[in-house]
Amino acid sequence: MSAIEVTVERAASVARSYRRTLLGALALMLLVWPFVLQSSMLGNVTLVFVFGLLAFSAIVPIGFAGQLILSQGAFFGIGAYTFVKLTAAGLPGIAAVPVAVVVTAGTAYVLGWPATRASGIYLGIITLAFNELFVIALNLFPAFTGGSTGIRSPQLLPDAVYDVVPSEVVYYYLLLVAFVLVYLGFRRLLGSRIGWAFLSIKENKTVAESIGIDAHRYRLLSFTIAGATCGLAGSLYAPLTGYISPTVFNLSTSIDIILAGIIGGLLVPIGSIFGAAVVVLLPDLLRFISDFRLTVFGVLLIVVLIYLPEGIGGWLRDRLD
Amino acid sequence: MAAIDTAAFIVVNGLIFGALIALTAVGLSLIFGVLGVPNFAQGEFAAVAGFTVVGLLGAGVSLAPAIVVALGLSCVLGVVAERLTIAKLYGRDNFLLLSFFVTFGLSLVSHNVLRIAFGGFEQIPGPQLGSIALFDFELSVLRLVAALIAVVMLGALHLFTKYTYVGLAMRAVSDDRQGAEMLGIDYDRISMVTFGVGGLLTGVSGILYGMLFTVYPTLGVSLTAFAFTIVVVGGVGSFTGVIAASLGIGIVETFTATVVGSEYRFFAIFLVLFLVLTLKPGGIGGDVDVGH
Repeated sequence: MSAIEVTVERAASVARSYRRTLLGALALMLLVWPFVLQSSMLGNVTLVFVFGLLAFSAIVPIGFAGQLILSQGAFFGIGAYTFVKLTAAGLPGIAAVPVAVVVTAGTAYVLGWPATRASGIYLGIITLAFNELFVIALNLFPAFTGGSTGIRSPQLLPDAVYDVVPSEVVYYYLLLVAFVLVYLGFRRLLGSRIGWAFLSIKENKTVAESIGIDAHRYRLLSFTIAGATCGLAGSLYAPLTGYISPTVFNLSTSIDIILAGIIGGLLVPIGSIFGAAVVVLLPDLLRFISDFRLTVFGVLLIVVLIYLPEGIGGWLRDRLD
Repeated sequence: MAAIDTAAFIVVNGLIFGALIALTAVGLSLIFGVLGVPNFAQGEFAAVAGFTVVGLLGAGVSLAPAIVVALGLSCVLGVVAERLTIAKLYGRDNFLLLSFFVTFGLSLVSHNVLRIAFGGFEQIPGPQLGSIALFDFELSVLRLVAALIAVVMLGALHLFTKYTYVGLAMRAVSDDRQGAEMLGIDYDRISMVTFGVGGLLTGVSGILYGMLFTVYPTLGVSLTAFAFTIVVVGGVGSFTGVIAASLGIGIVETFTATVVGSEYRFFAIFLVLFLVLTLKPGGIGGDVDVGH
């Protein structure tokens, strides 16, 4: 063992024995952060939670069910635009969020019906085409969508709330709670029979069907879950930034979302937050070489896939459990 | 008569465009068919080859040696990419997903580096060959020669996979990897050759594309999108299906660009792709199960 490995192992064994304390300290840190961080940094951390949510739309279908879905960006956009159109039409923001989730999940379900007839790379290409068609369609109907200039988003909560608490603090706590709840939900779901059914259709569809797992139904379910998750993230993202436009939801966003899933670990639910942190915070840290941002991302993606197949989450889990 | 002229213009230019992108599509189909790698970086070979020619011409090298160097480079890059990344993934679970995202990473690196090194749009000044009159429009001879070169390359590939030892070995690996290895076929070598040939074919398409149109840093991504559409519509593993789909997509592309407006090109292409795949998930000429 090299010196580095010894140090890491020693640190990990210390961390193992103080797990509860560490978790407590982490929770406390997350709670007081809004009073410590500058507001721009707080906005970034809030965005990490948004991408943490989004990463589940890669983890569930790609990591667990083995369905190559590349239209997360479009689902994210459908959630965001639904929220904006509904609140602009007079629905209170807090009611628009669940509607947006249902609309996006419904769209994903409808897309999933024909799309899941195909599998493997075919499914990837169909969903990629859907993502591009969605972005082009946003540009083609400017009267409804605001076209390429985009559209302003109403607030999520009544103005009275923001008079009392600054909006960035509100959104920080909101997304922290949303992420923690969604994470706990997925940890439970993926550890249950449904998670095993997903893994078994990824491993071998024929065998899975022979033991009574309805592969088509579970593949559709993974689609719908991805849609619902992106819908939630989108409907929270629109009021968070106050402004949305087609380029936010193009293929490169789908890729950022999948990247967050892969870097965090596609089979490790808690990995999503680490992957999201890398995807959101790394570009900021790399601002001094911003021209090379994509090169760094590309190399990072390749290195993680080759040398860290279970991502950061898997690496940490192996050392802390 | 104008309608017929327009129709002829669309068909002729569509076929020429189709022949060029067929070279990229056949490279993609070869790599996917033989190795099971959905190579998202396929179009990058074209962009790299095109920009290499641009760069060498700028440095004072004349056209012919510049083309030779660029093609050599795209072939070598194919092998290097395979050795450095894909070769480390053989035998892993979920090889399809892993190799797709790894090649996606390669594509990010490639077009980012090209943008920094070369910037924007560049055209390769091809040889002056004059033009001929066809119906009511002028057709440059260079376009015909480019299409002819593409056809010759496609024919050569067909003969290569049908009659040479290496070509037959590639097809054997594509049919049954373990069986082929049992017969003494070296999988690593076939894998390198496949990437080299795939890179070379696509490199040719990039240089021809640069002469007839322009090269730009994200050309690779556009060509990959076209190539995936063609391979998927034509059916994986079907050589004739891919050629037919290339010509069809070429005509759809030219029709949309001429009649509807060039900003709708990708909308039309993706619409065709989306419709074909949802109606016939295995493509027109293919079967869903190709063993990958």
